[in-house]
Amino acid sequence: MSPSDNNLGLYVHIPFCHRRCHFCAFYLEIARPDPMARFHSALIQEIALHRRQDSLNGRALQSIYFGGGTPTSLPVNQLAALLTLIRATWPTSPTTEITVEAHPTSVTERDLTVLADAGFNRISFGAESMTDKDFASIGRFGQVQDTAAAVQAAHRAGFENINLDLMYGLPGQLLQDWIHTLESLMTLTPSHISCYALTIEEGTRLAQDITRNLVLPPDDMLQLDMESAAEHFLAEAGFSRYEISNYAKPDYACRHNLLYWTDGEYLGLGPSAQSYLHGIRFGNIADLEAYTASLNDNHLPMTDRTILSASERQRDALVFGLRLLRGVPRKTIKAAERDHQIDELVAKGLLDTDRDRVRLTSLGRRYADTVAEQLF
Amino acid sequence: MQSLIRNFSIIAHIDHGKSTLADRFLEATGAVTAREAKEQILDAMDLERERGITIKAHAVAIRYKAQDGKTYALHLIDTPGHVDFTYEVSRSLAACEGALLLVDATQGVQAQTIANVNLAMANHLTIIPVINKIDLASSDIEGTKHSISEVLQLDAADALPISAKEGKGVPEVLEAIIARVPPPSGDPQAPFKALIFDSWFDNYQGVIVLARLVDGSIRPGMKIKVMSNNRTFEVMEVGQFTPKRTKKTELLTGEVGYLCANMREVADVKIGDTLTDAVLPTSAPFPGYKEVKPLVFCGLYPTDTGRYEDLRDALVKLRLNDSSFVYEPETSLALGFGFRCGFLGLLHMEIIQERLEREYNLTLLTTAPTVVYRLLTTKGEVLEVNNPSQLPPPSSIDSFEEPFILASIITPERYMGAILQLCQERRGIQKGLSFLDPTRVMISYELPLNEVILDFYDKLKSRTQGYASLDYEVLGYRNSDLVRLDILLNGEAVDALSFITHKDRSVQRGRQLAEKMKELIPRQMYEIAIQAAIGSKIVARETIGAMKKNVLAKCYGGDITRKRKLLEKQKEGKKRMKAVGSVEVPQEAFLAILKVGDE
Repeated sequence: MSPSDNNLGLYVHIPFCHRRCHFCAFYLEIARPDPMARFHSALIQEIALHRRQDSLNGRALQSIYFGGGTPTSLPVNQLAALLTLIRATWPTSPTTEITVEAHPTSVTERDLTVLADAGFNRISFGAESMTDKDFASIGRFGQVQDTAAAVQAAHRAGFENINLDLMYGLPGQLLQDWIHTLESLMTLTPSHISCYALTIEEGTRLAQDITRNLVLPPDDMLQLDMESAAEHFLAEAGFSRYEISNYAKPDYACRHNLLYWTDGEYLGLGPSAQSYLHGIRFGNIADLEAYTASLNDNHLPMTDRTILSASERQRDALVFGLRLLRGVPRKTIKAAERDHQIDELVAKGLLDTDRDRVRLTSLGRRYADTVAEQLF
Repeated sequence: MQSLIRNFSIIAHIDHGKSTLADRFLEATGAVTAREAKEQILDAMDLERERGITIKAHAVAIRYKAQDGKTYALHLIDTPGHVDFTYEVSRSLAACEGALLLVDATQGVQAQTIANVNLAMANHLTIIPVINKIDLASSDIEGTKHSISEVLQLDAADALPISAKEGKGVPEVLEAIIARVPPPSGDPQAPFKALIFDSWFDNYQGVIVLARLVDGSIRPGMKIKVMSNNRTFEVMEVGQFTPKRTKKTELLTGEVGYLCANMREVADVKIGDTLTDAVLPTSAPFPGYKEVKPLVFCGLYPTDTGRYEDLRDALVKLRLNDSSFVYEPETSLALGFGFRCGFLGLLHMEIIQERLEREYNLTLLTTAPTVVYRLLTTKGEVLEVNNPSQLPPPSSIDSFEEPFILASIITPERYMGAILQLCQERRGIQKGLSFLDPTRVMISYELPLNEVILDFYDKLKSRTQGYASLDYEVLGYRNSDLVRLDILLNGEAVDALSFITHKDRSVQRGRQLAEKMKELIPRQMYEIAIQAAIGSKIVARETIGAMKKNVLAKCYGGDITRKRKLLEKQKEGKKRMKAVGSVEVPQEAFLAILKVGDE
């Protein structure tokens, strides 16, 4: 497969939030007017430099994804203008999936209408839970009713592709709370749901609270029960699980995120954003000041850069492709020269194969990283 | 002329300035110009340089015009500087008539120095005390003289104060060598007889031997014989290192130099052996030759089982240069195909391992070091065992013996308690304790060698902040109440983890080891039971709980970057892992025994 045959997406990292949630380890800054203005002009410069360098060789974008942070920390008109600039810079098509992430309390119905009119056709809300008592320990502001209101407003504004991010295994969350969250969501008729097992990242407030015994760490067994409850409940509701943490109504799998697991290519803009183009992985510096300084200097704000050999690309395609429930084609395994390891993992009950594909078993999904370690 | 030859060595503790003084001699005599003078010319190998110690002995011939107007041939024979190489040191000293005793004026006499001075006295050498580093503010010349005369029973009245670093006092040392060291005796008319004190393998010419001519002379074309094995060779080339290798037409009585004689293996010409004329052999070999026996053994396994042949090739090549280590193939149920290797001591073991990894690009898995045990079976056979897993069942062992050493430790007085404690913990029997001066004490202990090879030296260093010095001599075998402790992972004994320990400490050791293994083995998909057993009796048990899940929740752009870095790191770590049954065991776990016992 030559690189130009791959799907191509654009990711824009908007590194601002009004507050940082206790579990969050992403690069972000607290939203304040000055840095946001500097970021905005630097981002425009970054797009301009990529256009000059023709980084994408004139190829069309299958997806555009505004993530964060909270992209809607920026004024929606600015987001709309940025999208217009991007579409003037790189070709898109009417089917291009264009996502914006939002915090339910950060958008009004008017804002959502502006975003929809600007061309965003998918919106992803950080719902996290539908039980108010879950919010305090993770430092998530807002209330469940804000989520409901925002999703309904998004529908009215014209979004029919709506994702809700959820977390399970939150401190104090019981299995029945989790099922309640799932049930409550259904009245909001999302098309896509992401269910993330709460993970304690080093250096976060939550990690500190656990060390100080203020909060109990997640219980692995309970999280496994919650995962299987979600899978069953969502299947009943017409959502199929297509990736370890992702569920979608038919034809609503996130095209942008699929790039990450199918050896697709992506260009990342904004501080800390990662890119994978022409077999090279590179990343932007995770610091707003350095990011803007570099761009003011007419330099792309790249930090590390890894050139992958053909076999490393195949290996990565295999390792990350296995996160998809449909697995990977057998030819990827051949190309990555991992037949022997695959046989061992099949023998251990972690992988399942048929004539065409290899995929994780349900046991394998519990130990997807163990499998990744064996195959890397 | 024999009367114009002086053969001498320098006895010094590590870092007391031996190499620097040797460099000054070469410069002072014009053998090397200052520009050519690389730091520490005699230490050729990288590893030696890095560790600041001299492993292989070397010999340099220097021409020196003395104040009496005559030109003398000075032969400086360098000696290895570590406790593991006592025999090599003794043979280098046997090739000399004199020795400079070089003592750091800021540190005084150290344990190893005492041992080497004793070796020099046993070889009837003239000893010239030299006090180095007098340029340093903290130097104590009088105190150092005092300790030389008290500790070493040497007359230190005319000890020479020098600064090798600044070159101060160096000419006086050269004159003292001429004046005090006797010229070599020996009969030029007698049949050729020479003492081998070093040899190494040269890719081009085969083995190069360093020898001291005792009687007669040698020139190319002569047939010579190695006395211990009666092998004969024709001499191809003789010469000296000046320090450049310089061919000569012959070597004469009393001289020190090299010879090449188409020898293929250093094992043919062992240190301490005697060379003689094959046609007119001497009747009396040079005394003191012995076969050096490895004291410490361990298993070496390639982590990549496909590289077994590469490891064997590397061992063959290394042994060309070092006949004092031995190896034989061995198979471990846990580790697959590898080699059991024997070394002179722990440092020697580390050096060989490091060279295998560095020079031959191998990644090795090492089992815990062990000594050679001797046991009497109920059938009356005597067995020597250098691998705990080869031990016969306890019911067929009548009695058990293990090697003991006499350790001499010199330490500042303030660490005395820590050292006595350490020696007691290691089943030591105190043999002596005396103050060398108001602040330093010499402690001697009889210790089982197996307790010493388990990180005794590291512990000694850490408990004394590096101030204690250690030397030892082997005393021989003694009866001991020993048992084998086995480690079982998920019910299966792991042969590479078995070790032999004293019965009184076995249960505690087993418990500590099981605890340590629990720390070192990462959690895996299934529960892992770690048990320590003596025979069929389980003495300790630990459990590593199963990892319930191992899966990243989010895996998008930035997550992929982080995950790839983590996977890279884990892949590196995996190279040092061995699958034992279904359990992945990291290298450190095979050496866990080195990490327990004192906490």
